Amino acid sequence: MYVFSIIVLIGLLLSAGFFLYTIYRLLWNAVKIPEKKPGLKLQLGRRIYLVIRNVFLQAKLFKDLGGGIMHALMFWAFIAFASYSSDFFVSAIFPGTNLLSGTFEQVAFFTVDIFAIIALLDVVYAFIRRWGIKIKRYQGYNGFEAWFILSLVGILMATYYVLSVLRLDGVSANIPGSIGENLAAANTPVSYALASVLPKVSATTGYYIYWTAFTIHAADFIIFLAYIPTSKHLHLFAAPFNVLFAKEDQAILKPIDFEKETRFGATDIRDFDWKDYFDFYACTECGRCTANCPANLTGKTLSPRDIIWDIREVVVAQGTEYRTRGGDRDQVFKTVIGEPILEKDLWSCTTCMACVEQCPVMIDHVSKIVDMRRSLVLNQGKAPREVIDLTRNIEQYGSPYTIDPSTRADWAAGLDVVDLSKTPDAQYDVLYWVGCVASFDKRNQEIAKSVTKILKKAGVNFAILGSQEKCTGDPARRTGNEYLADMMIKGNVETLKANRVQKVITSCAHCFNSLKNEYKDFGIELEVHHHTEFINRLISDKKLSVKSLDSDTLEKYTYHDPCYVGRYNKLYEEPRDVVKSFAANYEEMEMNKSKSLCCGAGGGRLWMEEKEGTLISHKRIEQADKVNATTVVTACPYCMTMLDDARKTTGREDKMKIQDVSELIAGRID
Amino acid sequence: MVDIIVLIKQMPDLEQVKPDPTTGEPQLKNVPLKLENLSENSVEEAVRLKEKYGGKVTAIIFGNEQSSAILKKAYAMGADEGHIITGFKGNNPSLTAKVLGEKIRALKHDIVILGNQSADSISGLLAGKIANHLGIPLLGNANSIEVSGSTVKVKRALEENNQIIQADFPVVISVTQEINEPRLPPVMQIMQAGRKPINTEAATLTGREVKVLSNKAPKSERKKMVFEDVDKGIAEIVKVIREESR
Amino acid sequence: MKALVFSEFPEMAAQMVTYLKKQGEVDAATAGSKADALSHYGAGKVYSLNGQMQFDNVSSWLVETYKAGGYDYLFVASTILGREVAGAASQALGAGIIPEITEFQAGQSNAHTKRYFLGGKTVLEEESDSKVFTFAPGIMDAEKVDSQSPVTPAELKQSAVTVVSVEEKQSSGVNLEKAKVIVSIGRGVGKKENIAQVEPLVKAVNGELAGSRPVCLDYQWLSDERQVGISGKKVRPNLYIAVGISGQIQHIAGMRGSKVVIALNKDKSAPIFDESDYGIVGDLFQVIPKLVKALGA
Ligand SMILES: Cc1cc2nc3c(=O)[nH]c(=O)nc-3n(C[C@H](O)[C@H](O)[C@H](O)COP(=O)(O)OP(=O)(O)OC[C@H]3O[C@@H](n4cnc5c(N)ncnc54)[C@H](O)[C@@H]3O)c2cc1C
Ligand code: SF4
Ligand code: SF4
Repeated sequence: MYVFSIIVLIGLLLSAGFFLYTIYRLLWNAVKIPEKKPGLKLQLGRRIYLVIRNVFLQAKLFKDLGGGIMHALMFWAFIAFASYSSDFFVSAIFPGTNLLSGTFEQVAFFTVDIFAIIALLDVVYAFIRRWGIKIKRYQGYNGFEAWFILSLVGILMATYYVLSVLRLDGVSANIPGSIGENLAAANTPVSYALASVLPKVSATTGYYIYWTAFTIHAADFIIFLAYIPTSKHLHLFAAPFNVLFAKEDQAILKPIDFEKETRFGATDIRDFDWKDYFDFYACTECGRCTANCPANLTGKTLSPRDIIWDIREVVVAQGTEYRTRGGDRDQVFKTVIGEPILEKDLWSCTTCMACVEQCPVMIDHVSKIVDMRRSLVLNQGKAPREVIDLTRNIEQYGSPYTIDPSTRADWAAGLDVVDLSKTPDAQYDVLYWVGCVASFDKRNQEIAKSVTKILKKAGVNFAILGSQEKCTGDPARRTGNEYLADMMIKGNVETLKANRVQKVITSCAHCFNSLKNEYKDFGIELEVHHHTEFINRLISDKKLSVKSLDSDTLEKYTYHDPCYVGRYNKLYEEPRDVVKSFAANYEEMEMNKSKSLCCGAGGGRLWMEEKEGTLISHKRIEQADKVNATTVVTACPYCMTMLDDARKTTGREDKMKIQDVSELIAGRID
Repeated sequence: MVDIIVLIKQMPDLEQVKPDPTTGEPQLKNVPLKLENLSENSVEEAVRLKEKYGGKVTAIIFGNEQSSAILKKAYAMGADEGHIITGFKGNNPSLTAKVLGEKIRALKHDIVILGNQSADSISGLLAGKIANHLGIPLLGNANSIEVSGSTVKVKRALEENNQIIQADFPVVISVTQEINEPRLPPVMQIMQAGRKPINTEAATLTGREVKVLSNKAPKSERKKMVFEDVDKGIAEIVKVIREESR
Repeated sequence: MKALVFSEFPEMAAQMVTYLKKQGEVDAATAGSKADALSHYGAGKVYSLNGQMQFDNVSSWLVETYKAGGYDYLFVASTILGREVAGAASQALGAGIIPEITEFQAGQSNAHTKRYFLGGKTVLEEESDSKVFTFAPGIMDAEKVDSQSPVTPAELKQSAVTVVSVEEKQSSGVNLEKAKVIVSIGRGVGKKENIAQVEPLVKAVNGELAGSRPVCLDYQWLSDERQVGISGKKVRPNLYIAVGISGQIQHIAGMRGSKVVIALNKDKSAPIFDESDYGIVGDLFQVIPKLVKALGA
């Protein structure tokens, strides 16, 4: 054996050992620390699909096109390099031996040769993004690690070409102990091109260049391997698994079994499950989540990336302490709330799901944030004053308001609506779940009235629950008060069962999501439709004919996606189809569909004052104004409240209206 | 270590009280009961004192069979022991003072805390009555409480100024709404509260008769008299303003 | 009927004297330093109480005097000290007590009274043999008489309560929750400078100024402690005058407890009118001057 071979072997073994040891430590944490289980389902088909789509095809990355292409190319380069590097090290340690041969070898070398140059350009592009045009989401994350990794990649690729050129030129084959034989020009077009422009070197010079490049190349790889699991590049290994294990229903909250469980919500790292640990490990620090977070965009300190990354650091630190010193778990695992996770940040979240939607490695930030809110509320009774008032109202009045619950259906007076509280035996096909805001808030009662008018016009036989309807529990749930939410949901499930409800339509995005996705955990399966979906079907089934009005020619429409209709339930086209059924003049805002900017009301924020930074709703209204919209269409009473308020307080009262999809249709079907 | 007794009461949820359409009397049937607002502040303050100085919080409620839910709320907030005295038949401060006073006498007490004026009866008499009945000082309308040794110092918020006043154990303290923000009880405590024993006894005393001649809602809903004729409106409104802003 | 009246505030004692003297003989007691102010309202006698007033020494003095003077009834103005004193005195006398009365009529052996109950939701009319009453503030205006009542000084005993210190209240602090009359302004006021045009109304009704969220938070025309609503103060005044406020549910949540609500708004369909007892549809800048004038007359 040659000296170099031995050095490489030792280096590689050390590095691989360190790599495996680090992975072992991380897995140890994920297995030994959590006290909760993720409750995953097998769903093999879905998982394979996800891995192909989100790992191999890098699909989620293209939400940021520039960064996405850059990363996908780099990813594919790495895959290509995997076979090349194996071959490289086999030949380096056992000169004369080759792992790859024949067609395999040809294909492998061909791809590597192409991707290496792409990767090099990628590195240059990445440097420019970070330090040239200074892309915002990287700011604060451009430290040692970023340039170190980029340099390692760059050097790896550059030395690859040096070695390849030497191989093409036939220099390397003559060096004893070198990796190898001559390359075929056709298999390595880029190297060939390089070789043809570079001056030929003498055998001696070639000898020195070869070993220098070889050493750098091998050392680079060895360092890289050891460095990966301790850095954000752990995602190279963690992310594919995280995608594989991803939960089907991200951001959908899970019930707590108050009879059995003793630790409520997430207080310290014991309260996250192993899948959450993969979330922490998989984070690439890319900042896509934070760059799309409405709270962060309006000057609040909440940053979903920091939430994930900060907890990851706690996991590593406390995990190491626990593994090496053992001891009392209560002593080792200290709460993460307060330090490093600020309470105020937890309360700034609107649960809009923009972070989850954006995250390329399928991390679920929202559930973790709500889990930490749960910890505060359920264990310590700690919440902003408005949230305490909110929960008291829900508890006492069954709605977020201090209003006599018996007046819930007063909006329907004189509209001849079947109220199951008054005529319990009435026959009906569909239940219209009105929701608290549309029941009690004057502005939003217009939505309830419009939906009523539409359903009647289309001949739908529907009923409302009237005073039996209670808050779905969503505001309590999303502000962490699972105990109260649990009570509300169970009560509602009983009411729904008692009234033989099967099919539901609702005009509230939050009720919609709860009833559709979260009530099943409480023992009821319902067929739930959002009113935009339902109205769209009525129109396409020709049950409604929608006129466009003369005044429409002057109107410019845009549509604001409610988060719980869009991102949570992927209804992007249905509401737009309804609007476009009459609107001649329509334009999308800059942030739309899956990238839509939240109105600021979700997660219980409708009842909280927004004191930090600027108002999210103001930012949204400005976006609507940018496309000169005169009517902002939306499909949720929460959005209506926020945007209507923003429209007025930013002085746009005279030039802009906010309308629910239902209101627009109701005015066009007479 | 301080032995604290907190006097609490239940009240109907006023938002849900409606006048009977025919008699005009308030319909109290089916109106949910709740822990009266200032009682909640009282329990909160008692628990805070316990957390700060150590000791025990005992809650007493003069109520009826339905009072256990109210007492459980006090338990959830941190009360250690609770007594229900049944036989409450309606607002009668003298009887309430006697019944509660006798019960307090039978228990260890350094501090007796209650609200300064309940949200439903708005009488505000009980503090003075209890203090007189027990023959101990009253530190009334407290905005804050401080204990050192067996001396209690409170900030008494008066109409025109604030007094810092003090007295030695045992004392009665009536608290204002400003003294604290009642907590949201942690779930563990709510669940434990459900399992805590409740001591119930019937009141033996009876009170003197007050004959209710009528009990009518002064108004039910908003009158919604909207004037489009400004001068007419002003004429009407001036009367109302004079009446209400005296 | 012979009545003994007490309030530490001579104005309130004077109101009670004025109200009660039609029904019989009334003597009144108040704080020593202020007794002279009480001597012009037709009381038979005015006692001036010297010493640091607390619930125990005042109530024991009242009980002794009540017994010694052969009084039929004891009336105390409902103030912080008054309610404590009345409670203690009735307990010591073993007498029945009716709190917060707004009307009193002495009968043969029983007294006929009216008071608010259930937080103001109902009016209770009662008949009882009670001897002690607290009077809700502001039963009627005090009326001066020509004659002057003799002032008798009295010494209070030492209280079991020690006063360590007295501090003045910070006058800047607004206390909307306790305000009896609130004039609340909304975006309809238009700009900060226009608040000056609302102020005469605030003065005329002797109220506190409050505002909707846009006024207090978004535009900061008023400080945020004056914000009424779901995320501001929850107020329950006797009179709430909403000026240029549309009446969104977030605002209503803060003032639903008001006894009487008056709204001024130029938009006939503003939701605030559904939450009001009286409303005037009109431009506030025209309505307010007229209203202030009418109130002044
Ligand atoms: C999370 C959240 C919390 C909130 N919390 C609160 C809260 O605590 N308190 C609160 O008040 N709001 C709150 N709001 C805001 C609330 O939704 C409304 O936007 C706000 O109450 C409207 O204030 P306004 O009535 O002053 O303004 P507007 O709704 O704009 O009403 C102005 C009114 O003035 C009338 N007007 C205009 N000019 C004149 C004139 N010359 N003469 C007479 N009338 C005139 C108009 O007809 C209109 O009705 C909250 C909103 C959100 C989203
Ligand atoms: S859910 Fe929305 S508000 Fe919350 S952290 Fe994610 S992006 Fe930010
Ligand atoms: S959580 Fe996801 S989106 Fe956010 S920084 Fe980490 S990898 Fe990027």
